[in-house]
Order: sequence, then structure tokens, then C-alpha cells
Amino acid sequence: MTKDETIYRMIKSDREGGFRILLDAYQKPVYYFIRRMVVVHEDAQDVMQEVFVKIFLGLNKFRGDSALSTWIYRIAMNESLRFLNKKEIKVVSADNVHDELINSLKASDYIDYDNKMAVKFQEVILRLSDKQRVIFNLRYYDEMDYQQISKVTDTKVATLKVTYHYIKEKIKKYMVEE
Amino acid sequence: MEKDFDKIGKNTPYFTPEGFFDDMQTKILRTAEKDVRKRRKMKIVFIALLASAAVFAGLIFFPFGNDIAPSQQPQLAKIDTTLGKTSTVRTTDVTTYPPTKNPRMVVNDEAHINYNKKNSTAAAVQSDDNSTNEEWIEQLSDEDLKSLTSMADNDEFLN
Repeated sequence: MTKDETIYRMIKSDREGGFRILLDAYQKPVYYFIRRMVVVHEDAQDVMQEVFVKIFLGLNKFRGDSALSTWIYRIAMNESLRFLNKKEIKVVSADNVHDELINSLKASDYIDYDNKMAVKFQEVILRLSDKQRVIFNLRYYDEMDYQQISKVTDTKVATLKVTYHYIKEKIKKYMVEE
Repeated sequence: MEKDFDKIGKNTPYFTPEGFFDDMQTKILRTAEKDVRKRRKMKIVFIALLASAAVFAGLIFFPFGNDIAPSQQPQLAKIDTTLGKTSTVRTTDVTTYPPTKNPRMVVNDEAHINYNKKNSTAAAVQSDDNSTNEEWIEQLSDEDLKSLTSMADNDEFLN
């Protein structure tokens, strides 16, 4: 039985107990997925809380047709993009949001500035569009296969493969430029 | 998995305050439960509002006065009366609505409704028996006829 199946069965018999196990299993990966999208710890905290409250409230509706992880990451992706869209409205354009995210990365709490290579890598990733960042992060950091990413992002597998290849080349190019 | 970024690896510069995930778990559970309670309350308020709206709509569109079905209304026109006389209508002829519980018109079975036709032209109009009109006119005295004619002179519908 997979981890998701165990959690799903637990939720069916004891909603709150099952949710605690779900939190134990997904809290960290979901937080870091959101953090890589929104950069600032406090923002990631707010978005993560929103995500898990939505998951808790939606547990009754979850029928197990898709994998639990797919459903959770889909909610996390939607909430992160919603947060960034809100920010975009506040600061007028998407380019400005990306500049702001890069600035936050350069001067923010809970970022290890001693790890220069990792900071630089994140800075390069932040130059990508939001959708490209979602695809790259799910594939590279969360190690999802294309089928799973396809379900999370509602994108065809072939499109994802091409996009991911394109993103990698773009990142390499940026890394050389920096 | 990916060899293109081997030097960098999967490490990110992001970290969290100590005990963050434990605190967060408690916070999420508390907020989720609060949200569930809030939603339940909202649901109850919504149902209550819906019910009051339904009652209010019922009072507006189906007021008490109009809720008697025509077939169940008292058939006053069918009351057989002898004109010029004081007639009595037995309550058994009168249908009440609703038939059993909380009727609008409660009449004791022993009671009688005294109905003086002599002074009531309305009753004559309600009567569906045309022959009674003729009988009634025949039985009228000259004085009665005179007074009725004088009333007819002033009747704006007849003139």
C-alpha cells in the first residue's frame, strides 16, 4: 500500500487523524514548493496555511480518483499563483513582480546567503515565468514524473517535455551570463 | 535525476525558523477547525434565512383570506330561502376550511344563522334560482315596490 493510500484510508475512517498524517507527510515538501514560488518565508507561511485549510475542508469531496499528492500540489500551485497574481495587481506588472521576488531573495530573512551558488541558482529560476517555474520546480525539486506534472498543471506530457528542456537551456544560459 | 545541475544539487538557500513545522501544524489544525465551525454556523444562518424568506413569501403570496379553495367555500348562493321571510341556514350546509384542524369559521352544530332576506337584495343576486325573484316580486306590497323603484331611480348602474 502506498503512502497516499494509507493516508486516504485513514482519512475515510478518522478525518482529523488522517489529516494529521497528511500534514506530517506533506507539510515540508508543500512549504518548500510554495517558498520557491513566493520566496519570502512569511508569505509562504500564509499561503501554506491557506492550502492546508482548503485541503482539510475539501477532504470530504476528495474521491481518490487522482493521487492525493497530485491533488495537494494542485491546490498548492493554484494558491501560489493566486498570491503572485494579487501581488502583480498591486505592483502593476509581472516583470515588476519578478524584480520584487529577486530583491526579496537578496534581502530577506531565513535565506542562507553563505550558500552563494544556491542563491544564484534561485535568482536565475526567478527570471522564468510563473508557469515555467511551477514546471521546473515540480520536475527538478519535487522529482515528479511528467504524468504527474501533467495532472497537476493540466498540460500535455509532450508539451511539458519540450517546456522542461527549453527551461533547462534557458537556466544554463542565464548561469553563464551571471 | 538531473545531471545538468549537479554542481548545484537540490539544495536551496531557504530555511525556516526553529520549530516552525510543529507550530504550523497546530496553527493549521486550529484554523481548520475554526473554519469548519464558522461554515457550520453560516450554513445554519443560511437555512434559517431561507426558511424565514419562504414563510414571508408564503404570507405575501398566499394570505389567510385567500387560502380557501373555491370548491370548499360556503355555498351561499345555493342556500334555499323563501323570499320575504326570515330564513334559517343550518350550519351543516356550511363548509368550513380546513375541514378539521383550526377552521377559519367555527360554527356550533346547534347554531343557526339567521338571515333576513327581506332587507337583503344581495342574497337575491346570489341566488341562482330565477323563479324565486318572480315569487319575491309577486309577494311585495305596493309600498315595497314603490320604495324599490325610488331606489332604482337613484341607481347609477341602472340609469
